[in-house]
This record gives sequence, structure tokens and C-alpha cells, in this order.
Amino acid sequence: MTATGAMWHNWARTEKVMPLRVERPRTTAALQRAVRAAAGSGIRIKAIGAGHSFTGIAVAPGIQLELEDLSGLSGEPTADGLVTLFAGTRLHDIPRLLAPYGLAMENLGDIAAQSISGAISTGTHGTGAGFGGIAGQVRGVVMVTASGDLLEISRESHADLLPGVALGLGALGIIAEVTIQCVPRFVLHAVEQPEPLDDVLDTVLDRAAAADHFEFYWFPHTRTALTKTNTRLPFGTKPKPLGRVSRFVDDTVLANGVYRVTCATAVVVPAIIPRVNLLADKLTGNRTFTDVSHRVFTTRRTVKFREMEYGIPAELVPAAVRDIEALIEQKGWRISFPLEVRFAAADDLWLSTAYGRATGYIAVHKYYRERSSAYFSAVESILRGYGGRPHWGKIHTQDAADLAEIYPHFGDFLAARDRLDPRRLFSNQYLERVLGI
Amino acid sequence: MAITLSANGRAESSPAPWLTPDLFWPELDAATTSVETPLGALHLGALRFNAHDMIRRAGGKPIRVATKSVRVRSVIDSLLATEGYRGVLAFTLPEAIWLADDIDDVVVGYPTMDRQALRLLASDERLAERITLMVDSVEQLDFIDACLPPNARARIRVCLEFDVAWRTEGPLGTVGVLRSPIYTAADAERFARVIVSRPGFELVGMMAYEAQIAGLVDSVPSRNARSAGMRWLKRRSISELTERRAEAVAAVRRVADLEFVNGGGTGSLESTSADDSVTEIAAGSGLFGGHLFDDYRNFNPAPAASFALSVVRKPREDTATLLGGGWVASGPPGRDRLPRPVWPEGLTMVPREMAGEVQTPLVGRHAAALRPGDRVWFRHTKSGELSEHLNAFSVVDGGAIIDTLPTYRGEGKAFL
Ligand SMILES: Cc1cc2nc3c(=O)[nH]c(=O)nc-3n(C[C@H](O)[C@H](O)[C@H](O)COP(=O)(O)OP(=O)(O)OC[C@H]3O[C@@H](n4cnc5c(N)ncnc54)[C@H](O)[C@@H]3O)c2cc1C
Repeated sequence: MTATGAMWHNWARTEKVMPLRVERPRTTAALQRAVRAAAGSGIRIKAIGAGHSFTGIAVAPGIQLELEDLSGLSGEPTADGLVTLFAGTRLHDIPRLLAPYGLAMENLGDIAAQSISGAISTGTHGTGAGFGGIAGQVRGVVMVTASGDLLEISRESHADLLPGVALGLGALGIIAEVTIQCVPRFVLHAVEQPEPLDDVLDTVLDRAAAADHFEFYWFPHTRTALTKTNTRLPFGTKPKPLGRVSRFVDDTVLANGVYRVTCATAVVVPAIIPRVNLLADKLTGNRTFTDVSHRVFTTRRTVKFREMEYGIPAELVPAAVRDIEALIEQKGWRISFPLEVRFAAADDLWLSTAYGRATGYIAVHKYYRERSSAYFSAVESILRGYGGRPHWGKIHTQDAADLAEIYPHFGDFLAARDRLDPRRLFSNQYLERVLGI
Repeated sequence: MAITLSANGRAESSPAPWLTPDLFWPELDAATTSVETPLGALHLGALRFNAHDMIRRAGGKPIRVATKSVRVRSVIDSLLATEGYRGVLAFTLPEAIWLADDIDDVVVGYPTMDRQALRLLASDERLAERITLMVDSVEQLDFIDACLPPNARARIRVCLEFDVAWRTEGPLGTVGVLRSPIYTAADAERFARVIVSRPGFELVGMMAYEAQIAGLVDSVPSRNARSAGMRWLKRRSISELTERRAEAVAAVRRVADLEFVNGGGTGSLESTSADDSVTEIAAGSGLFGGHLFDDYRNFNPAPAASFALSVVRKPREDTATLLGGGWVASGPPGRDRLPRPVWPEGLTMVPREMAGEVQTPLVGRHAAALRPGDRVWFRHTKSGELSEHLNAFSVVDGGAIIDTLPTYRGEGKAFL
């Protein structure tokens, strides 16, 4: 189906565009036809997932593909847990699809609204020093190339392209199917508690290494970190879920209810932010609970914000957080959202923020109505100083020349792009900036 | 002279320049200043867009090029060189004979009574293999036999035309055009049996052209109720037709091995392609993108073809008169068949003259500023007839003329 004339914007409302044409192919063949028509007329084409990237990476002024109708399982999972999903499958649908097979995704980010293709294409990750991001779970993709043909990339076929296309920024082709390695389903035991920030920073690497999934939030203007430690337990362990009323640290920290009001107030009266943060700090108590994995990993975020996130070598996290703390202090800024700190194992995907190094992620947020430039750019230069690599789906200012220096396989990726998309059918302004024309 | 309708080189980052008229028309105007009026321009990017958008809308079924909607030989050739297009639907037999010189699959879209052309066809094996005639009655078969008897001629390929108008009981009456007397599956099967029983004929195809679906405007902003009515009518007609056509095709297939079942029209590519009984779709007017299609709901062709006339006098300060008129499109005569002035913006025709004479006065916001020698750009309502007013089209790409393509008329071929 086709529609025209509607304005598209991303979740954070940082980007918008009126595409020339919007298409919702229902079959792989229709997807191929869409690409062929675009290629034949020389008009750029781009798939969007859930529009949850903060950057312009998904902006499609030409032909915008919505893949909602290309969703669900393609065939049965294999005995060793390989699951093939159609490109548009949303992460929140996957638990239901996998349940009959007793499988689950190994790790997730903190929301599940994304499409599987969007999530892998931008390097979406969760936390856990022993685990990679979602793209690290990819074992194969079926991609529509610039000629409209189907290309299967897996360990058996065109394996040389796998480290490129598994995290391909949407720059190499339109993904039709993704095969991921899943694991037997499991439950998570979650412990959330406020702790002194300095203690946390002093011990963070050991704690991240000791736990399956460790992360913490720190509210500027407080001395408290909210830690979250998840332990993997076999499926069947008796769950003790949170009640509806007291679901999750995130609900207070980044999501709904009270915090929306405080944010809105804080925009108007920045001076009260430190006090608001202290309040949020107090609201969050010690909590422990146990539930099936995806319910612990993810929440629903309804307060709109803007986010920047960098991956740096894990061991540099304490120093970087302290630098940011000093920065905020020195500038006298009022910052309403917490910093979020997470960890991931090294991987070997060419454009992964965790390529070749154990990684610590530091994310900063701003309420979407607040102007973010000064805060973000100062934090960005601190993190760049630590060898940081920007998350492809979150706000940053790097261009191809900068990025070539921090990704050893940047040249390989560009070569793959030249080979797969010499005419830049899949490009847009963001990709021109980060990959070059 | 040939153009290629598949883009090579970099994909455009500004996808559709025609969506910004303030830039598009002045650029087209600047590119063609060296050509005298009346001048026809083909914007290559827009033509590519239309050509490929139609392939996409055809949902994987090949498109047979309706030549009457183009009437430019090299454009037809370049379409046939593009994957997704196969064969042509010509409008007269002399045209078909001319095209068959290098096109091997030509269906004549209408019955023919041209004795001379029929004799030529029937006495040339090569032509007879390439050309298929449209028939809907025994009289037409008799006519062909009278030109050259079956034992003295090549086998004539014929295509049975099935009427797809929707004959309603109520006040609507017949919706669609009056084309063929063959209306039911039983009619079709009976006539098919007649054809196969006659020596010298081969039944190879069936055609069912959905004028009432393809040709009806269904999304005019100022006429919402009417448009909704049109859409209702199309939906009903599509479901009625799909059923009846499928039955008829099945019935005819019991009698003859059909090579193709043709359905179609630019306005109905989606619904026609969804009908399993159809194997190919005839379409053409979407290629040049006449303004008729501006008011369709599910697609928006680009203004690939346009023409310019010169202001030659100012009868009044607020009126600019152009040399040139006519340019009226086929269909029920009415205002919606007139060419539309598109640049400069804000020009309208004078109600008492419109575009019918050899000069066309224009009034409106911009008319006072126009001076003799200035040019005004128009879009044609439909497509092919535009070529009957021009000897050639200037092909514009990247802000310059890259080629000049003669029309049928420019090649001395005024077929109809
Ligand atoms: C509230 C919120 C929370 C978030 N939490 C996290 C988090 O915990 N961890 C994290 O790492 N990130 C997080 N993000 C960022 C988010 O996960 C990424 O930006 C992700 O890419 C969004 O997925 P999407 O489906 O919305 O993709 P989109 O933003 O729609 O698209 C992203 C890219 O994928 C491409 N793409 C989509 N489908 C295809 C396809 N079929 N073929 C080829 N390319 C395709 C697009 O063209 C584009 O280049 C969060 C974002 C928000 C708004």
C-alpha cells in the first residue's frame, strides 16, 4: 500500500520529513519492487523502524518504507536457538513469538518499541559486561540490495559481509529478514538500590564484572547513584514481579507520572531542578523482584527526551563520570535527567561502539523542550577525549573524518558500501555526514 | 536517438523537484530558452519516476505500453527496454505495422476496417506473427476473410475483447464505456468457439479494459462527496468485474490456450494487478503524467510532459494572449479536458474563450506582469494527444536539453 502527504517525525521530535511516497510492503517481493522502482527512477529509499532514533538516521525524504506488515517469525527456530524474524518485527512482539519454543533474546535495551532491524542497524544495546548488544546476536540477514535482488548473508554465505551488515546503519541495503541467536528463556532477579555515588564509582568495574547485568543512574546535583543489578536465573524460578503501582526504578527515574510533571516544571523554573532531583532520589527505594527477562530489561518511556550516548573503554567510566560531574558543577547548569551508565562486552562488528573493547556507556538526557546544545557538546568533548564512540541512533556531532579514526574497520565498511550501494540509493543526510558522500 | 529510463549515477537526494513548482518550472523554462514555441518538454527525471512507479503499482505484472498515450517512438522503445514493460497496445493497424518493424509483440487495441493494412498484414508472415488484432464479433472475422481468404493468407492472431462496463439495474445505468457486445462468460465462450472453429485465425488473447476504474477521478479536494461516490462506485465495480472477468477468462481458456489476458489502465494498476485472471496490464497515460491524474487517490504521477506557448499580445493590461490553442484532451468534452496553465502560477483562461481558438487569452494574478515574448507553461489533461500538436519533445535532464525526440507527427505519422 502507498500513502503520501503525511508528515513523519521521530519519537523524540527532533527530526521530521514529508516523504515523497510511503510504502508498506506486505511481502518480500513487494519490498523488492519498491526498491527496484526507486533505483530505476534514481530516488533514494529508506526503511524506518519505530522511529526511535534521536538522530536523522532514519529520515527518508524520498521513498519511506514502513515494514510493520513484514513482521513475525519466518519459519521455525532451529534446535540450537536460531530464530529468523521478518525485518519489521517489533522487539515487544518477540517474547510472545518465542514463548512457544521456550526461547528468549539474550539481552535487551531498556525499551522494546524498536524494530529488530532498526535496533541492530544502530547498535542498540542493554547492559551486562559479559554480553554484547543486539547486533551481536545476529547470525544472518536477508537483504534487498540496490538492484532489488535478495542477498543472503550468513556464516555460510557472503560471511565476509556479516560484520558490516549486522550493524549497517541502514546504509548497505534494506533488510528483509534477520536471524538471531536466542537462548533458553530465563528469569531475572533484580535488585535496585540507592548507594553513595563515590562508592559506586570506586567499585564499578568489579561490580559490573561480578553481575550479569549491572547499571546505574546518577542524578546530577545529588551524591547518590541508583544501581540496578540483574541476575539470570533458570526459567521456572518462582517469580516475584513488581506490583502495578511500584513498577521499576525507571518509572520514577526516566518515565512516567510524577516525573513528567517535575520535568515540565523544571523547564519553567530551572532553579528548582536540584530539589526535584533530590525528590526523585528519595522516591526511589530499595526494591528486589524477579520476573521473566524481557519484563525486567525493558520499560515504557512516555516522557519525551533527547539523548546522547557514547561508548568508551569500560575502565575509563569512573574518570569520565567524575569529569562530567565537575563540568556541571563548574558551569552551574541545572540538569534534570540522570546520567545512565551501562556496560557491554567487546564484539567484532565493524561499526559497533563496542568493537574490540570492553565498553562502558554513558548517556546524558534532556527533557525534549530543553535546549540541549551546550550541555551535550561539553559532555561530548569529554567523552571524545576518552576515545568515545557515539551511539548511531543518538545525538552526536561526529562526521566521517572523526569516525574513521575511532573505528579500525571504517574503511572496510565504506568499501562494502561502495560495493553494495555505489549509487547511494539508501543514503540520506545523516549517512552522508557520518559515512561521507 | 534514445533515452534510458533507468537512472544510473547517484540517487537524487531531493527526490521530486516537481513538488517545488517555484524551482521546477523556471528551471525547465531556462533549459529550453533556445527552442521556439510551441515547444514540448519531457522532464527525464519525472518520466523515469512515472515509468518506475507504474511498474511498482503493477505489482509484478508486465505493463503493455498503450502507445496512443505516448506517440513518441523513441519513448516507446526505451520503455520496452525497461524491465517491467512488455509489448505495446497500438491504436490503429497502420501504426501497428509501422511499430512491428522492430517490436515483436503488438496488439491493436481496437477493431480495424482498414482493407489495405489488413491485406498487408495477412500477406506478410513476419507481421502476422507479431501483430494481434482486436475482435468482438463475427462480422469482423468475415471482413478479414473478405480481404484475403484464409487459404491465401497468414494466420491472423486475434484477441477477444470482453466488455467490463458495469451494467447496473438502478438509476446509474451502465457505468463504463461502450466497447464490446461480449458481456457474460457465456458470450465470451461462445465467441471463442467461433474463432477457433474458423480457419486462418488464432485466438491468443483476451482484453478487458476498465475505463470506469482507470479513468475516473476519485479524489478532488473541492468535491469530497462526489469523490467518495466515485470511490464507492469503483469498489463496487471492481468486485463485480473481478468475478465476471475471472469466469469469462476461465470459460475462454477452456476453448483456447491464451497467451495473455490484458486488463488495465493507469488509474487501476493496483486493482487490475490484484486480479489473478489478468496476466498483463495496459497503461500509458501515467507516463507523461497529465493533470487528470492529479486528483487520483492512490498515486501522483509527475508532470513529465508539458508545453509552452508565447505571449504575443496584451489586449488589456490584465490579459495576456498566447499564440496557440486547442490542445484539448480526449474524453467527454468539458473543462477538465483543457490544458492547465501551470507557470507562472495564478493564470486562468477567459470563460468565453478558454483554449479552443488558435490563441488563448489568460487572466489572473500573474497576467498583468506578462509581456509579449514571455512564455507560459501548460500541462495537458491526458497524454498522447499532446504529441499531435508537436513535432518533437525536448528532453530536459539536469537543467539542460539532452535530446530532442520526434513525435509520431514529427515523423510524418499522423495515424489518428
Ligand atoms: C525511549 C528510547 C529508549 C531507548 N533506549 C535505548 C537503549 O536502551 N539502548 C540503545 O542502545 N538504544 C536505545 N534507544 C535508541 C534506539 O534503540 C535506536 O535508535 C534504534 O535504532 C531505534 O530502532 P527503530 O526501530 O526505531 O529504528 P529507526 O530509528 O526507525 O531506524 C534506525 C535505522 O535503522 C534503519 N532500518 C530500519 N529498518 C531497516 C531495514 N529493514 N533495513 C535496513 N535498515 C533499516 C533505518 O533506515 C535507520 O537507518 C532508545 C531510544 C528511545 C527513543
